[in-house]
Amino acid sequence: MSDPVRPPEPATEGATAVPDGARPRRARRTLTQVFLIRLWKNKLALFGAIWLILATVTIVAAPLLPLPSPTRIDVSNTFAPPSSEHLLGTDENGRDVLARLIAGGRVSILVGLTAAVLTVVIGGLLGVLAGYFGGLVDRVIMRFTDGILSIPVFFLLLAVVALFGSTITVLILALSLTRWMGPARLLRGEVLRVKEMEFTTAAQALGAGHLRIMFTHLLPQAMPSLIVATSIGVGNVMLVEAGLSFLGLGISPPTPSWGNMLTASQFYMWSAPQLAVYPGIMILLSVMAFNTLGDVIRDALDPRLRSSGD
Amino acid sequence: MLEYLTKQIFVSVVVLFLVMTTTFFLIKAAPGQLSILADPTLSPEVVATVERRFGLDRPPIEQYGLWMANVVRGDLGFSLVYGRPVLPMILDRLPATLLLGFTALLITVVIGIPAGVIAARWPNSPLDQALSFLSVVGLAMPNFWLGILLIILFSVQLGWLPGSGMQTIGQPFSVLDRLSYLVLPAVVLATSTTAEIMRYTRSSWLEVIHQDYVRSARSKGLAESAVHGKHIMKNALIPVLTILGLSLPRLIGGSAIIESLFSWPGIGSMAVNAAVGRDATVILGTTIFVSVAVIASNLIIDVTYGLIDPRIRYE
Repeated sequence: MSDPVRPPEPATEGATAVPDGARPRRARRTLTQVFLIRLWKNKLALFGAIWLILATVTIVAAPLLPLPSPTRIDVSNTFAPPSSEHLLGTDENGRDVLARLIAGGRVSILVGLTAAVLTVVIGGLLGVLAGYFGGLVDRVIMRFTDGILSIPVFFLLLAVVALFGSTITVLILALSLTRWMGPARLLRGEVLRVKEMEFTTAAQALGAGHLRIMFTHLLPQAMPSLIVATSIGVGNVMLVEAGLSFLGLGISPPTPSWGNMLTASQFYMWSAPQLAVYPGIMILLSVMAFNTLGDVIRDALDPRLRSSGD
Repeated sequence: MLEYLTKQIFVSVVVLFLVMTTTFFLIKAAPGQLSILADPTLSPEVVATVERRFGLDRPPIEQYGLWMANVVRGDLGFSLVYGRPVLPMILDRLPATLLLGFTALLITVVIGIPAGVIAARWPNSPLDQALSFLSVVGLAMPNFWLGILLIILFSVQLGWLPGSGMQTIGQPFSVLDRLSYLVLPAVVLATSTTAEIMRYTRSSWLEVIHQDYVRSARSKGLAESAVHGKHIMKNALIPVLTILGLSLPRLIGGSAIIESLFSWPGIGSMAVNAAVGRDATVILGTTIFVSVAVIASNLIIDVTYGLIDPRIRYE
C-alpha cells in the first residue's frame, strides 16, 4: 500500500551532467529515446520491463501452453514436488502451482491495470477541474482530497467489500474510489503549470469553451504525468488487492489470485513453505517492475534531468 | 496561528462528517440483509424485534440523523454479532494497536532516517546503492508476505520467536515475553514506511546540500561532520516530519492485515473479523474511530511543524 505521494528520486550527480560545449551539440532526443537510454542505465527497471513483457506474453499465451487446469483438483496428488508434469509441484488440493500462478497473475494484473486507469481518470478529472478553474472550486476539491488522504482508507475498503461482496467489479470500483487522491494532486499541478502558457490564452482568444481547453489543450500536456501515475498506481493497487484477497475479502476462491494463494499457504507453513514463496515473489517482481518503470518515465520527463543538449 | 488552527480543525470536522456520511449510506445501500437477520430460521417476529431494537425499521434519513447524534456523543451503537457496545470493544483493543503502531513508528524513525542520511552522505556509493535497492524492494513487497516468510523462518524453522498472539497464555506478564511477541509484527508493519522515510530523507538531504548556507558553512572551514550534523540536519528533516504524518494512515491501514496475520488482538484484526462477519456497526465504528485518531495526530504534527520551522507563517 504505497503512499500516493511518492518521493522523487534526486538526480544522480554526474550521471547526466554534460558540460555545455564539451561535446558537439547533439540533436534533441525524443522522449522515447530518452526513456530507452534511462531504462538501459537503470538495470532494475530494465529487469522489470523484461519481467512484465515475459509475464504478459505468458498470461496471454496461457491457454496455448501445455499446462494442467489451474482449478483441477487431484486429492491423490497433494503437495507434490516439482516434476515434469507439474513444474512447480502441486498445492494442498493437488492443483498445479505454475498454472495457478499464471491464472492468478492474469487476475491480479488485470485488476491492477483497470483500477489504476480508473483511479487516474477520476483523480485526473478532479485535478484538471481544480487546476483549471482555481478559486473556490480548487479550494473545495483540494481540501477534500487532502482530507481523504489523511484517513486510513483501508478500513473504508474493508467496509465496502464486506457489504457489497468481493466481486471483481466491486473491488475495482472500491480500489479506484479510495486511491484517486494522488493523481488529483499531480494533475492539478500539471494544469497550473500549463494553464498560463500562450497556447491556452490563444485558445481562449479564439473562443474555445472550458471543456475544449481542458481536454484538447491542457490534458495532452499532462499525458506523460498520467502515464507515470498509472504505472505506479498499478503497483499500489496490486499490493492492496493482494492484501484484501489474503484476508479473504478480495478475489475469492476458486478463482486464483496471488493474494488468495497466500491465504491458503498460511495453513501449510510447516509442511509446504514453498507454497508461500512463489506467489509473493510474483507480487514483489510485478510491483517492483511497475514502480521502477514509473520512476524511469518520470526521470525521462524531467527536463532538469534530460541529457539531451538543448 | 490561532486562525490557522481553527481552519484546520474546521476542515477536519468536515472530512469526518463526510467519512461518517459515506460509511453510513454505504451500509444502507449494501444489498442483502445484515448478518444476524440473514438466518432463515428466524421468525418474522424476531426479525421485527431485532430491527426495532437497532432502529432498522425507521426511514434511512431518520436513522442517519439519530446515528450522527449518537456518534457525536461517543455512542457508536452495538455490534450486530456480539451485541456489545462498539466503543468499549474498540477501547478494549486500543492498547494493543497503539503498542504495535508506536513500535512500528519507532522502527521507522530509528532505522529509516539514519539510513537515508547515510545514503545521502555518500551518494552513489555501493552503500547508497544497496540501501536504495532495499527501499525499492521494501516498497514493492506485500508486507504480509514478508510476515509469512518471517514466521516460517523464526517461528516454524528456528523456533526463536512466537508467530501468533500477544503473550504466552497462562504466564504472568513480563516485558521480555511481550517483546518476543511484538518484534515480528512490528518489523513487518514498519517495512514500507521505513523504506519510504529513507527515500524521502535521502532526497531531502541531497536537496539541502546544495543550498547557499551549506556552502558558506563549508567555506568558513567547518568540518564535514558539523556541516551535516548541524546545518543540513535541521533543514532536511522538516519535510520528513510531514511525510511521517502522511504515513500514519498507511501504518494504521496496514495494521489490519498484519494484526490478522499475527493474531494480534488489536483494532485492525477486529475490523477484519467484523468485515468477514459483516458486522456493519463495528466496521463503521472502527473506521470513524481510526479516522478521528489519524486526523487528530495530523493536526498535532501540523502545529509542531509550525513550532520547529519559523519560516512557516500561517497566512
